[in-house]
Parts: sequence; C-alpha cells; structure tokens
Amino acid sequence: MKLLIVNTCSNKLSEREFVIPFEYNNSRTNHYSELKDLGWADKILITGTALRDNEYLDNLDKFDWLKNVNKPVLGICSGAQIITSVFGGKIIKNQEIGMVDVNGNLFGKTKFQAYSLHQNGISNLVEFDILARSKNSIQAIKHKSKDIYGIIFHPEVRNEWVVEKFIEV
Amino acid sequence: MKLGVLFSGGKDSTFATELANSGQNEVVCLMSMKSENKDSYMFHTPNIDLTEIQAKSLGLPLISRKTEGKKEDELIDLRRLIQKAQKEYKIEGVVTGAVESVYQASRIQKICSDLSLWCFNPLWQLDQETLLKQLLKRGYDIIISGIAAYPLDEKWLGRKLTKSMIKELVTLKQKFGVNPAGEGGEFESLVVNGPNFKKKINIHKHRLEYKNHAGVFIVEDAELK
Repeated sequence: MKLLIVNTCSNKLSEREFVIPFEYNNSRTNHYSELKDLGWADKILITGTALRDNEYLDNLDKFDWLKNVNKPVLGICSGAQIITSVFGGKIIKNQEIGMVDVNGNLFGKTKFQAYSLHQNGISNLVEFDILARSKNSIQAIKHKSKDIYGIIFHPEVRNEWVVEKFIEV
Repeated sequence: MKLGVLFSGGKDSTFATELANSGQNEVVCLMSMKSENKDSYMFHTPNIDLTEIQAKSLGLPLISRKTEGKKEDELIDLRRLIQKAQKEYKIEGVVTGAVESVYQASRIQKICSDLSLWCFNPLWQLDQETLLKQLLKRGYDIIISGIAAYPLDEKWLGRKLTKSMIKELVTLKQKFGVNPAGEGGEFESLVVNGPNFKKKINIHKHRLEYKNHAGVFIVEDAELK
C-alpha cells in the first residue's frame, strides 16, 4: 500500500512533530505547495500542523484536487479542516488542547481518549456524516459518497490505530 | 523565526536545541526553570545550576527562574519565564524536548497559545531507543544524573551513555517496563559535550545521594575545557 503524505506545515521544524511520525518505508511525502505523487499513491494522508500555523488557510485552492480524487483520503486536524472547506463546510474558531473523551464510531471504535491540539474546528458539514464528537468539538467525519475522512484530534499520540485502520480499509 | 528553548541540560532539551537551530529558525536564548521540588511533574531537577556553563559552551544566553514546584503554581512561574524571553529576546516560538508526555506538552502548548507564541517539539513521539541511538551518532556525551525506578541502582549514577547501555536499557524495558529514554521519569541525564558545544564540561568533583532505587549524581565542581 503506497501512502502519499501531504505535508501542511509552513515551518520545517514542525515536520518532526506532525509529518515524520506517519512516514514509513512505503510512503512519500510532498508539501501541499508542490504535489507530484498523487498518481503514484494508493491512499493519501493530509497532515496536521502547529497550533499557530494558518498558512494552509490562505492556500485552500491548492487542495482543489480533492474534488476529483478517487482514492481514500484521511485528513488530520488542519487536513480535516481543508477537506471540510473544499466540500463546502466551514472552518470555525474552536480551541482545544489536551486529552479529550471521544464518542461515536470511528473504524469500529466507539469510545476512546484522544489528544486534541487545534484552534479551529469544523461545521456546516452538509456533504459529510459525523462519526465522532468530543464535548466541545466534532472529532471525526466521513464524506457521504467518497472514501474521504477527516479527524480533528491527533492520532499520532496514543491512537496510532486510526492510521493503521485507514491503511487496512 | 527567533526561538527560545526550555532547557534543562538533559539529553532531550539539548538535542532539541541543536535541531531547532537550523533553516528558517534561530535559537536566541535558553530558558531554565529551577524547581525546588525534586519530584516536579514538569521540570528536570538534578544539576539544574549547570545549565549556566552548558549555555556558555553552546554560546547562548540563559534566563532562569526559580519555582517552589507546586503543581499548578509552577506553570505560572513558567509562563513568567517565557514572557521574559519574549520581552528580552523577542522570541516568536518556544522549543521543548518533550517526547511522550502529554502532561508537559499540552501545558506548554496552552501557555504558548495564550502568549501568541509558536510551540515546537522536535522529538515528539520519537521512538525512545531510536532517540538514544541518534544522540550517540551525533556525538553527544551524556551521563546518568538521576534515577528513580527499580531495578536501577547507585551503580547507574554517573555512568556514560554507550551502545551497550542502550542494549541494557532495552532489556530492562522488556523485563521491567523501564522506558529506555527515561520518559517515565525513570532516570535523568546530563549532557557534558555535544556537536554544538564549543567546550566540553569537565566534572572535577561530585557526590552521590542514593536510597532504595532513587538517587542523584550531584556535580559539585565543573569547568569548561
């Protein structure tokens, strides 16, 4: 399974935190500003970035490829916000830092704790089903007709199973 | 971006300093909390005074602040230390050596967010054995300066990190669940030399305090050479 990791970090130092934890021997990483391996990949993961990094919000047009992609996509934090925005949803102010209780059904898991690190959340999700929530945030969504997922929490912390399931499905 | 590093003189914050000082970023100061509570949840305590000569060797200014180390009050002290760096050195971001502790990382993220600062954790989620191997490969000289878990005993205090010690630590993980890089507070470390040190720290005199699998290697006299 060939995984393309789409890096949303504007500062290289953040990549050690938000990108490198997902890399493995059959993945390639492209920054969103210079995507070149979309054709190569079987699945695509769009990473999160630092709490104060909002550069991706000024470059949402660089993600128009999502409208026509026919491969499974998983967006994490800023990645989930990007997916939401491309399909007509809204990015809203919603800060959450630390461990939160998540309830719903994400890849078969109905209750778990997750690490949240975001200043924006998502709403107006007409084209999506909401899969899981925490007390103050929508935590996981899936596009109604495509294999496109968004999760707001950070699965690289204590919830590696999320990416493993995404790769398996 | 101008960055300040939360610096304890241990292996993780020293390595984070090296990693942060590259590309579009410049480390402009080190920040140390001197906790009077040796069981602090937030801060590394043995030999924290040595950060002064470590900073000198790294060629960086150091600002420090004392804290009694009471659980949430120490966060107020930390916030003040970071504010001081923001004012004096115009830092735009804070770097930590956090590897796995959500407790530490989320508290620092909150302080940075309140102060409109970026937060970077370049060792975050790095496999602990890989971290130790990277430190050796990059040429760091590291000694064990504190222990707080069975079966570690006084023989560990002052020992230098080597390949064979990494093997030992991995075995201890399998047998006793000790985190190989001490992430669970099992041990503390002190960096005496590294790729970004201008001079090595020579320890002339030390003493050990040890009781029942808990102890510290206290440096009493050291100089840069």
